[in-house]
Amino acid sequence: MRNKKRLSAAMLGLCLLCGGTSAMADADITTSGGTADTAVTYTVASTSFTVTIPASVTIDPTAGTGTVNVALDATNYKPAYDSGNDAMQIWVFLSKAANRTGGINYLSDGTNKIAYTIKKNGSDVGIGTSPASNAVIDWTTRNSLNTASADLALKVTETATVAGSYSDTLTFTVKTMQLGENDTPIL
Amino acid sequence: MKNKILAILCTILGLALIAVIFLFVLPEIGGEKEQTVNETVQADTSEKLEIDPNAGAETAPETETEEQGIAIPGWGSITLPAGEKEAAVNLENPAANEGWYYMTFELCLKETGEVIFTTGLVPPGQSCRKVTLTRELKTGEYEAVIHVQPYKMDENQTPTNNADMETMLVVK
Repeated sequence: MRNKKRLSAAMLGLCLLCGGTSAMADADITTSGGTADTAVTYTVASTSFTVTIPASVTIDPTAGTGTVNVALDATNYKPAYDSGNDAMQIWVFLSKAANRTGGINYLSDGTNKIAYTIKKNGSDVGIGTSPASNAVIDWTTRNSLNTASADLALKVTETATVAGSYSDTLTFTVKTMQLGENDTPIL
Repeated sequence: MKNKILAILCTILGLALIAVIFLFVLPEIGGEKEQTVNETVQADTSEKLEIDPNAGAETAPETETEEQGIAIPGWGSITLPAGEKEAAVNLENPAANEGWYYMTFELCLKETGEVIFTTGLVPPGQSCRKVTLTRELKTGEYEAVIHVQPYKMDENQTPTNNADMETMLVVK
């Protein structure tokens, strides 16, 4: 009978010890009614956005014109900062046209060239990453829509004298910038 | 006297013979040719022409499948480890490019143009998860550009229009 009591007490003590240890590992509350803080962390990754660009310069050989589309999808974009009053701006620029010379865009077959224009809403698209007005897409996290899109109109401006396949390669540059109060850039 | 008369008669006969030939024999020969020609024409027009087996309704030329736009991923920043040459990354070729474009990624420092890493082809829907840096980097933040070059999934792996993603390189 005595041995049973001893065994029961030992087991009870062991249980208390294990429970106590477990409690002390998570939050060390040593007094009745006491409190302790434990950190809860949830990491939100700076996820990506997506820009869709045209694969090539596509111009109808009969009409001499074409349209390509550039689009931004920022639905899943979560900038790595405390947004608060701040915002993030995303620009998409047409930064390079491989055959551009003397301020004129050209389609080339490797030897011969044909001039063509790239316009947005009737105005020539500036080639380069500045000024900001050159951007074909200008979007901020303040926009009500998480997407933006722009159509670029292509037009051949001279007649080819040699038959063949003419093309150009375009590079689009995407820039992001954090904006502070009054949408001023935070450098 | 007799010889003279004989000669005159022979001459008259010869002339008469020539006249007969011109007046009767030659026209007959011409008439036969004409008849032959007429018969030939009649024979041609009597054969019925047949429709060329290669003829068919006019069709518009086949147009190539409309080219799909290229989905380019963008990042506000990318983090690499300091003092190491192997780095874990997540450079994704979006699934939207499935069936259309492979992609390579190259990170350069914006200030100097120095290449930090270059990947091989990444299929659509997959990510490059590890890169080898050209050198160890020091702790800090650097303006960088990730050059994204797509390639058509054809036998020539034709390069297409491309994109430069300006981003912040965080080394820590």
